[in-house]
Amino acid sequence: MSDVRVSHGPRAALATRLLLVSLLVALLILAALPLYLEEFWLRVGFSIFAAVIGAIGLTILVGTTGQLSLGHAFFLAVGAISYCWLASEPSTLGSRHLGGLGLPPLLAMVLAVLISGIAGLLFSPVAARLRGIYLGIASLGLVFVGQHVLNSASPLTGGYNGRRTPDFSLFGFVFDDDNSGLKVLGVPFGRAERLWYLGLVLVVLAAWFAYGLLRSRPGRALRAVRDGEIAAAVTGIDVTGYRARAFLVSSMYAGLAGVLYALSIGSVAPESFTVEVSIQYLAIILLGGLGSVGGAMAGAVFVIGLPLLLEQYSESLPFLAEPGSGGVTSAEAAKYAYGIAVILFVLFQPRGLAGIAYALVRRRRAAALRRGDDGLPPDGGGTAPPRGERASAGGTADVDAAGAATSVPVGAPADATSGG
Amino acid sequence: MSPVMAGRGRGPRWRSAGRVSLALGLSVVTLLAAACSTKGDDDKPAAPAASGSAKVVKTGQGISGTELTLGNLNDVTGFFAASGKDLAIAYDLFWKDYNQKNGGICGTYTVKLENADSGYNVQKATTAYAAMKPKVAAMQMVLGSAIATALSEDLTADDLVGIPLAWSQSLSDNPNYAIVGSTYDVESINGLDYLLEKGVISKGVKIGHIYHDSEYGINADAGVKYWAAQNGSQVFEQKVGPLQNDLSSQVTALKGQGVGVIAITGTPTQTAALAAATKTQGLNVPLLGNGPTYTPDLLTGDAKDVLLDRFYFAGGNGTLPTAEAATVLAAYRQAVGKADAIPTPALSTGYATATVMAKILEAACAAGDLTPAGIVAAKKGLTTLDTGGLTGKLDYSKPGISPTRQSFVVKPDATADVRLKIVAPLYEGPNAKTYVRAK
Amino acid sequence: MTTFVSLLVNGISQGAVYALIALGFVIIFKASEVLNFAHGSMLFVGAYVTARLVPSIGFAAAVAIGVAGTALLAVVLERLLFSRVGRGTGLASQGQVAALTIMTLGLDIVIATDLTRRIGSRVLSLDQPWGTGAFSVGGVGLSYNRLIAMGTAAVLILAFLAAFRFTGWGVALRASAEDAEAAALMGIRHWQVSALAWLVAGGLAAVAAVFLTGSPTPGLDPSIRTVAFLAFPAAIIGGLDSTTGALAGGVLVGVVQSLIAGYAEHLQFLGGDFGGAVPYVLMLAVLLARPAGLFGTRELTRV
Repeated sequence: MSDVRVSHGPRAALATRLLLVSLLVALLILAALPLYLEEFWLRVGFSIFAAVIGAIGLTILVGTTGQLSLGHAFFLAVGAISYCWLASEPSTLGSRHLGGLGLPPLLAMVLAVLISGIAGLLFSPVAARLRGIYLGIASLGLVFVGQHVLNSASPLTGGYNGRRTPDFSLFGFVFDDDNSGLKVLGVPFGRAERLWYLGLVLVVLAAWFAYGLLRSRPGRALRAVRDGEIAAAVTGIDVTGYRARAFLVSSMYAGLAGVLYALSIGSVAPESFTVEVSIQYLAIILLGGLGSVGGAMAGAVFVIGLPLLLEQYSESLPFLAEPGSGGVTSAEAAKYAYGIAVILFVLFQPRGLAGIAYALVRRRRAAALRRGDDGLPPDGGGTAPPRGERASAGGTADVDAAGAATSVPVGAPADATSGG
Repeated sequence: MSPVMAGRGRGPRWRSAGRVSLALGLSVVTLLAAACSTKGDDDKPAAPAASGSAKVVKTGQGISGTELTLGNLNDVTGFFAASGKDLAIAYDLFWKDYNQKNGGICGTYTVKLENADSGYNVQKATTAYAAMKPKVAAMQMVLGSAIATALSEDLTADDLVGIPLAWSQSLSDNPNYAIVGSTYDVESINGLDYLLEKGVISKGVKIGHIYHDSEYGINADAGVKYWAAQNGSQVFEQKVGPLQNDLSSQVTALKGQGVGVIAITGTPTQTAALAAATKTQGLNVPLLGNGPTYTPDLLTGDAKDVLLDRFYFAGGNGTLPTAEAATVLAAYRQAVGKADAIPTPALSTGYATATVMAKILEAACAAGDLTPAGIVAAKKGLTTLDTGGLTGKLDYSKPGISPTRQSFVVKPDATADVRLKIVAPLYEGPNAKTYVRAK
Repeated sequence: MTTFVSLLVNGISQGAVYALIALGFVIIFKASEVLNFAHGSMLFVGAYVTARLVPSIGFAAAVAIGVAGTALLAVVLERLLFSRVGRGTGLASQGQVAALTIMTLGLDIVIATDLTRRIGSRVLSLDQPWGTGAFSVGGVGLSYNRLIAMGTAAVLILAFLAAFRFTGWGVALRASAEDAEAAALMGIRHWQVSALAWLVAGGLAAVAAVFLTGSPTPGLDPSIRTVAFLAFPAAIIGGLDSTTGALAGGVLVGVVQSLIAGYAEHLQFLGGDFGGAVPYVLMLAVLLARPAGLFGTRELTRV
């Protein structure tokens, strides 16, 4: 299915390519932003980068392989805490002694990601025995039991106090405010500016890897598992193995997101990774469109960015009240907004933001078709993916990104096809 | 599972189009970056020394013109919201009054407050701190042990004085933190000392301690254990989470162990739960809480009788300035818009905190340096800070130990305006005097 | 010994309340294949409505309105939201499961945020007429609230089981859960079955909330929502499609929690406050040994 776009007519192809170009331009703009934005905005951006990576991991698991997980917060915790433990020197925080290996931060980050992956693999025997709903609640158990274990392992985690995140550094270049007076084009580059680039690079890598994965053989196998395990097994797919590997990949993404999260807030405690965090991530991928990498990004901007934005501007928004005054505060407004958005999206747009973007692109393609300069129907000409019952499954859009969508789910929203 | 990039078969037209756009994009971005960024230009020159006071005072971050800004990292939506709201009111009232009477710090700088709500969430707190720190001369309040611990190194790095609204001994390790009152371990010891002195408990009594497995609870537990070791007592510990509102099983166990007093280090709701559970189990022993375990609301609930009968608590600060108590209470009631409103103990904590902040700033002013670093230096130099009875005499020159060994021992009182009466002000028990921090 | 019996009695009385919540959770699952993560919010709604009405209309009327209101809200939600996605066509496909579950989470966020905001930092009292009284037999104490909770739970559960077995709705519910398509062919109106299930579950949650906020718990605060997170594993331990299982699971969770807390002194190696995690430890153990739960029957697709 990766070759579909090749066969489109020149105009439609150009549209796709322009999109890619605009993606590049968007990247460049993102790369230039630290020259303009204040530290607060860079911090918000870095939180979003972290969430994007975590959400991509979850969308691979839930959207692509159909394994409902409420345990994402646990894998984030494992990544975050492992990083802190691996990269810190032993120290004493408050009344507790904290262990640490003092490894170079880059190595600690890589190992933290691996440890999260192993945690995911360890859980996969449980996951292999359970489906859908049972898996959802079992993974919820992971959060509760995991939190207890992590809280008890206070030499590792700092217990309820948590522990401080060691600064990230790359071959001696520290991602923190230092007195080096580093300036780029006259702009002082401190911690926030440096971390922004770290986040950006990691997001690009994470997204690139996910796109590749989803379009490769394993990606197709994962979707086949989702759409019908028996059918998949019949075609020779190692169902249990793929489900386990999905957990591995997803928890590694979560682990990396956890490391970035730890860097963004400066200290982590097991308490930071409650079931609310899992829910937040599910909301992100649902709003973005299950299974869509681009959607995961859009969802993260909405769910993570909105509360911070509302808070920053709460004074100038007339409907928001001061915290504690009894009125609706910015934090509450953001929660209402994303709770309601989740409900509305499930009801009316189960394919999420990616589905909307996709429908728009499709309409444009259809218009191009009508003008007669495109030789092929929008979903023809390529290898049609096995669709199975996906069409009836609301919320499992097989849309990779707005414009790069290459397959057309049978049950696409009616408005998307009205133009053709 | 190596990534496989799609999109083969790109024609020459695509290549050139792509390259042109890429080049365009790059150059546009670079141009923008070079030409328009003003972010780097705003390094402000050091503010000129302000005149107006007799002496020339050095100023820096947090002071602009004749305004000095203090940061408050409060919790008005989380676990400690009731206290947080009263703290905010206390600060507003205190500084309004102070600005009016003294014309601000150094008689020149009107104090302004920059408030943020953490909801008792560490992540929100660190983000909010980053947003407010360039605007403030000092942090008047950092609420919560976990948050104060998380921000500890930031305060050092940013060279800011902070007052933690958390009384964990470990916070006193950081010389930038000014703890207002006795730490939790000292509170626990003073509380037990008082009960022993009054004959409510006897030497060798078995002690039950229900506490949060956090810095807050662990620090209090250190005090309870110290006291027990000095007095031949045995301690039975029960760790609980902050949301656990049914303590029946814990109390049943403590009853089985034959405890003669139960100490609690938890939320006010848990104090009520403890009272109810001891009643159900028929375990009529004295109950001892420390600072944040009591709010006047508890006396409107079912636990009222038990609390009035056998609950005591020891806190770092327990009273409003006596002479002004009536004025403050009236102002408080006006501020919340309710003629019979009952403030939580946090109102006096807020007054104590603001008083300490004012004393530190005054000392910095006297030393002629109101920059953040100057304020830190002034704080470290204070050895006998007297708040006029709001809290014990504070010695900030020795990091690592409680700045005072005096606590207030308090009992709920259904008829008092603030629903509590102080049974022993600025109390320093014999064991608290000799207490040394366990290594 | 007294301590042990005390802990046991306390655990059973608390477990009875968990069972009511778990039962509602299971009924909803049987009828509409929805895993209702908004169940905690239903507890919250029931308790909140009751607490607000008690001062003006008295306890009995307030509870009646609280229970009826929560039951109605549950039905409205089912009709307005869940029935539009699910349609109850047997075991929902994996995508639907995810979407529906996430929708209940979204709903939970909206309701809980709103009620938490309304309550603020207060602890509301429901003014149960039995107050904080307690009785004691041979050193074993139990609050009247817990005693009445046990009695009420027993009556409600027996009534439910009778209805489940003997009424047309019960038969229809069982038939739908067994094979929704066949049931539909035999003239069973699925939407009625489903709506009634939500009604019953909402009512049970509100009743449970009345006891959860009584002595020795100080009253209603937002933490009531977290009790649902104990009832979920209870339901799974028993078997998500088994009503008997919900009861067993509820009581088991209550008793184990109570014993763990009571003997914490001897269980230091488990870490502090193990009581909060123990239902999930039990649940994971049961799932590994018997994925359908202790009393569950649903066969899981295995490859």
